[in-house]
Amino acid sequence: MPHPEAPPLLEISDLHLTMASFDGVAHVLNGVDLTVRRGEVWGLVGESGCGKSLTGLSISRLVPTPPARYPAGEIRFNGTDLMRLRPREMQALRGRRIGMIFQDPTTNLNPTARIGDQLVDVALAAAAHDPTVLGPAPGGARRAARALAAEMMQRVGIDDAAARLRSYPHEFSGGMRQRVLIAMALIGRPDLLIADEPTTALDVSVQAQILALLKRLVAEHGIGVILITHNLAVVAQTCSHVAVMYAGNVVEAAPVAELIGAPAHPYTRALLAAIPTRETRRGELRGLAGSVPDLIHPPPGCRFAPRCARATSVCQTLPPLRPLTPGHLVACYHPITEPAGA
Amino acid sequence: MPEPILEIRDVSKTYPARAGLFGRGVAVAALRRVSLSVARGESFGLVGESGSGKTTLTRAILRLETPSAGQILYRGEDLAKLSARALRAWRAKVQIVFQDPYASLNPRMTVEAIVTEPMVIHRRAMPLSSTQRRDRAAELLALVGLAPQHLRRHPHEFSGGQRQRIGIARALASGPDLLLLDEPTSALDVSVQAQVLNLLIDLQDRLGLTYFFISHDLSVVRYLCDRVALIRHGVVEEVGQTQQIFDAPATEYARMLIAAAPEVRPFTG
Repeated sequence: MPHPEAPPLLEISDLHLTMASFDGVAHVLNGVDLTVRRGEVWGLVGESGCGKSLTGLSISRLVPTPPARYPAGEIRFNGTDLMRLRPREMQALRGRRIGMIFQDPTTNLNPTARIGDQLVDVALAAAAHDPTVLGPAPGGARRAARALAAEMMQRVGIDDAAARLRSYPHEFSGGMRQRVLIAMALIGRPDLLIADEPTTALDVSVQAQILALLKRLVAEHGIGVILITHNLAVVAQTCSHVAVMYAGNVVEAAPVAELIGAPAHPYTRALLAAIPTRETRRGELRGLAGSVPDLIHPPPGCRFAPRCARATSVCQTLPPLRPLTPGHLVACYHPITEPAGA
Repeated sequence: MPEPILEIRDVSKTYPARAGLFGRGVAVAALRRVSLSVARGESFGLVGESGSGKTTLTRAILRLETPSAGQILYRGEDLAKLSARALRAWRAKVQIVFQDPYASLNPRMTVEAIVTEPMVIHRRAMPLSSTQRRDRAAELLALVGLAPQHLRRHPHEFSGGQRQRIGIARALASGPDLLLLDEPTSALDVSVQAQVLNLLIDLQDRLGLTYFFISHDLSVVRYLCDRVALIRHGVVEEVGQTQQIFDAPATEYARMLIAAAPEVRPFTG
């Protein structure tokens, strides 16, 4: 359960990221703000190229610099600014305090090693930084790591875990592999889990199981989660909060029911209107005219303004992300407050 | 119901066991006695999870696979019995739009070459001069919401949504009656997906096309399709009016698929 008074687990403020390319310097993150507390599951949504994955990778400091550069911004994790850590210090956090899961469960496992050995390696690496991960290890670290690996496999819903440790990745289905990766991400007992499109490659029935598993693990472990996805329906089903990104900015952030029930940013509203639902009649779906801005020569101010019907001259300066109501943040000079559907 | 344009009768496809380096394989029954009928002018959805046989069935309809048993009829004619010449004429009438607009357009061809290629291939059915072909390509681009000046460009100059429009223009070039749409929007962002879905609806209304729409996305199928078939392990589990299946699914599989599909229900809170 969220604790609003507890200090935030993660606090990203004004994060800028530029990326050098042949055509020039692209301003990919343009002052991202995001705060995550323990027990919260944040959906980070947006369309291709909005910077959602780069935000996730920046938290784990996995964006290679160069070509990337961080001109400004802070990523405070448990109070420490990750931007100031040395690579060695970051290494100690990554995979242990900050767990990660990526989209494709096939390419993230070593096909030539047994599942158990891969989990044991992660457990031992985590234990090197924090021996309490393995607890008392009377039979030696490796044996304790193996027991932990079996326990984690069981927790993510793999039956007969001890025997399945001897399996190779190709013997597992896509959903099972994703479970293994979740087990691997949680083995170091992270405080924050970043899941980047964890169910995009999976069938809907398997997706539903994986998302339910994530929710259960958050409740059991009290961790914070950032679920990066392009799918608002997945967010609606899984998350407690949502942040919507557009062209390198968080444009709206709110509890999930609030954002879906009363979207205030014109982009959020357009995004929701583009998703077919039970009630959408044939031909009534509304696409979003125009296209995402060129990040090498972005429009001044609000990057959504060129596609926005409500834009005026004030939109030439970048609107800050500020509260519309407590807990509902929006970066827009002309937020929509009248009931939706109008 | 209007006359069926496409009838699939008791089609099975079994891939035989292969003896390989690692021992004997097992025979795979990809399709088991599948029967479906698609009416002229309707949008028919085929929904299934990975490994359900969607792709095998699509390939069988295109005659890229030969069914092990059963018949596929187009306007009452058995495709297996068509002569080579008749088959070629038939191919002009049945076209496909592929899933990935980044992979399905040749990066070295101009848009004009891409869109006119089907007219060249089907020149016997469609005797056009090269000027006429270019004019038709320009018309097709206008039809899908692009402009004539795009003819000289290459695929890399277009966004994903624009590329899918080019893929649709190419599919329409030979004057088809039936379009197979293989997850045409699953590689696109939702706002672009909405544009492409609306384009497909608009084209159907204008040209009287029949759609065979393959997808795993139930919300898209519900939006676009009049009727839908759910397929699992090569067996059709349920067929019916889309509305009816979503409101009152008869099989356990349909209930499971509908329950598992996440849904946003905005503007109701």
